[in-house]
Amino acid sequence: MSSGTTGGQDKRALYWLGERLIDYRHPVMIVVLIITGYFAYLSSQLKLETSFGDLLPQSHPFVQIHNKYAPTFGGANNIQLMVEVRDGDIFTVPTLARIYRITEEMDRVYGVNHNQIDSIGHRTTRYLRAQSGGFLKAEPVMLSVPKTADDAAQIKRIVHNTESIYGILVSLDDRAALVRANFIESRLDHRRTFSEINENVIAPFQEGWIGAMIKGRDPLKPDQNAPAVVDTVYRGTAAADAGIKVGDTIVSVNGKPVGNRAELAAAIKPFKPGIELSLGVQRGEAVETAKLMVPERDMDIFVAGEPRLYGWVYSYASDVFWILTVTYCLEWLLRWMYFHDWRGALRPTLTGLIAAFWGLGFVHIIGFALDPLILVMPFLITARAVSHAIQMHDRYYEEFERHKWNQREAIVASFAELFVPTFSGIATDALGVLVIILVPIRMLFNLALVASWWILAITVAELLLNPIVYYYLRAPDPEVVLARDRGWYKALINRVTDWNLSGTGKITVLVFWGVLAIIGAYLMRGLIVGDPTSASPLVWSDSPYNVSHAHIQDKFGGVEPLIVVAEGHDRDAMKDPQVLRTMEKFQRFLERDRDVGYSFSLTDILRAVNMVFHELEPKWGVIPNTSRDVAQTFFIFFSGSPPTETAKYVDPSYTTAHVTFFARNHKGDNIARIIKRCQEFMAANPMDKAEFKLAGGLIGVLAAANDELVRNDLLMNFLGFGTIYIIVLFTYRSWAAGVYLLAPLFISNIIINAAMAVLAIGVNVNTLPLVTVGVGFGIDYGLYIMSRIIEEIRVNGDLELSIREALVTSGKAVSFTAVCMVMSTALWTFSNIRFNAVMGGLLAVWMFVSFVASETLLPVMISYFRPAFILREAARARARQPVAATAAAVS
Amino acid sequence: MGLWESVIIVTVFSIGVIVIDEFIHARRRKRREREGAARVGH
Repeated sequence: MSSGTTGGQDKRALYWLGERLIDYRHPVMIVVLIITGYFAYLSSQLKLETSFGDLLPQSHPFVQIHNKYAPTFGGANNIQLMVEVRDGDIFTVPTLARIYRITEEMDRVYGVNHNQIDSIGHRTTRYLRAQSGGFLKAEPVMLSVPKTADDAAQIKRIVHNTESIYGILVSLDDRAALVRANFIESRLDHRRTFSEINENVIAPFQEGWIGAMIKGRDPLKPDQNAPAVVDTVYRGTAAADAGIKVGDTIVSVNGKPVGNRAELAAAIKPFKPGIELSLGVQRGEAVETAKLMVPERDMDIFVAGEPRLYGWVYSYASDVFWILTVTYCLEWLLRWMYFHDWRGALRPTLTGLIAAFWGLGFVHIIGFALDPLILVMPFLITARAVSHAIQMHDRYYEEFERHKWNQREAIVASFAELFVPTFSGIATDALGVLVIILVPIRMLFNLALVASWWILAITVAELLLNPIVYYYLRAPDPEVVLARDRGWYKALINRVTDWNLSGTGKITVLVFWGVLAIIGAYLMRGLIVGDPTSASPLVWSDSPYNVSHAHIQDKFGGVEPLIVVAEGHDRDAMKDPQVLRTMEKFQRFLERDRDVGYSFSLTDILRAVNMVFHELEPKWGVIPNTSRDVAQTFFIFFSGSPPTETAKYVDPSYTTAHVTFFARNHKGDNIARIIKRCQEFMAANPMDKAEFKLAGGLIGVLAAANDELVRNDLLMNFLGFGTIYIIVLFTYRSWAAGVYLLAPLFISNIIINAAMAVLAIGVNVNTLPLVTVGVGFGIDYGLYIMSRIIEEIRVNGDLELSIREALVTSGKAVSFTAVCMVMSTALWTFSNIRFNAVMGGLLAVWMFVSFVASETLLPVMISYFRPAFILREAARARARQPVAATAAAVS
Repeated sequence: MGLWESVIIVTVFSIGVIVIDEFIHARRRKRREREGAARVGH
């Protein structure tokens, strides 16, 4: 052991500050507590929500086009609901009736754009009907619920003869129908959308279906409750077998009252097929009991799309509480076992808690909300705060023993000696994460500010309040302090350190990290920007969302829209045959891409109408030759529709329309290829009266986000490392110090990037902040070890001895903090949200790799290369000793 | 599990650890005092 006088002379100001903090402990404590109380109050006001606009780079031209046209042509927030029958086809009365009602319920979900629903059961999905006298009229496919088999057969005929419906809204095998609804971005409420779809759209027609159509709410009186009145009973169903009749009101299920269709479905849903239920049925004034056998499910409903995905993510967000609880309890237990004293468990908790209140309060102040996908971040920051506190507590015990059990001297000495590495660590973490503000995505900007502030808030608890809290707490028993330096843990650290600093150990360490870096550099070439798989990486591949997504993709080819806007230079530009032919050519060109399922544009309507004009002869499915003929054809189709309905195809002045491609997935490399092909086509096919503009829809905005990430990824890495280098430069006043500290960090970074490539984790708006935080957090281990080596060499003057001493003292505390850091994030691997699980696991690996590199590679490098900035401290200490001795003799 | 259940569990757990720790140390102190008194008695 060492330190003491020499260090004390260098850090006089810090010793003085430590003394004053204890002297003025009451006012300092009161001020900090008042501010913390205020932030705690603000924290309680926090909400968990996602603002879709904040995830997009608003200055990107694609996003500007998306924002401009999303209200009319549809945005990125679509829900696709697929109804698939288990036997036969969908063209039966009960199934078509359910599709109609499902569409109706979808239209009532909060935030839906009523004019942007596509379904054979929606008023805006029309077909062209030839009437007597040669008139043609565009009519909705289903005006009302079909009642007879003839109605169903007629709908089947219409679907099969309408190019814009068959294969697009009804599958080619007739077994599935698609309901597509676009949501207004400013009215997105993921939790509400999720529950409304579950309760009102899915349950009554899938698990809660008994074979009778129950009346829903009156559209004109949406707030008025509608009792579960039977509207239709279908033949051969469970409801018919139970004797339920039209006009009956179902008032209870197994004695549990039900007030409407959704409650009835919710009451039936938990029971398995074949179970008999007692339904309370009101007929007139009397209430009778009907025995209903829960039927086998005859139809499946699958729902996909961004609002649905976030709905699932929100439904899993409560994972955070059990993870928090288990992490907290395990960490308390570990700290208690390590320090042999409850104060060692409590003190880091106080630091973490105070920093958390300051951080969360700040989140509220800047008007930011927590996204369920960034919940790992607060854990990581809190774990870092706790780690600093563990270092300090360990040092306090060490100083307590050295200062002959004098509490005040130990408090001041631990404060002064650890001030520099703690503050440098906090500064590198805070400034390292701040570089994310360079990416022009609002969410990342806010996140960088919050994370940076939160990390800086650790200073308050760790440096300002720390000496005071120790002073208030009773000093530990000496036997507790001594026990810390005994036992298997200390013995293990001693043994590993001895091996590490032996000749064989040094060579092994250098070769090991060198080989790992080379392998990592080779593997990291596979790292992708954007999502690397077709399933959503936010939830597990066997989650209900990804299962639904895969089913819909299989049946309909593609569900993720890319909207390319055809912007005319003047009104009526969309009636120009050359513009329309180019749009059609564009569709055929991009449909050849393996990841584009199908496409849709104004020209599909035009060709279909032209064909109807000519007795459905396929050869007439072409675009007319003159603008006049085009205008006439449009008039026939759109004349019976209000502008709000036609606006989803073309604006009322016929200036602007769109071509929408439905992609099979949103893999990062596929998006990049599709966008590149679009740009090639646009460059090769200029139009006189219009031009194509990229790009709206989910694919368009993801392309913009990926574009910004590619542009900024390298820059951020460079700035992240640069920031750390500059802070280290000021801390140790040496150009070389940064190289020594950054080398292990750089190798860790390579290994993590390689792991991301191997585990198929792409760089996107969600992963980027976590990965950037990891860069900064890895440096702290090295800072503590480096500072301790310098501190030791000032006393004993021997480099090898100082390295060893640093590793068995600070290195031991570092190893314990690493265990805590790894555990805090590793528990996230049990999360239902795959993204959080993967990021938690990845950060745990990162923290572990950084720790091992700092404990092995850093000391070996220092031992081998004997850096001048460390050795000069030994020379200075030797020069100072005679002076100090002379001064002592004179006094 | 919700926020308040989580808060209650961690609070109870922390108090539990503190109580157990104090109990263990109190026993050790007593034992030391007894051993010290016995040595003085000799």
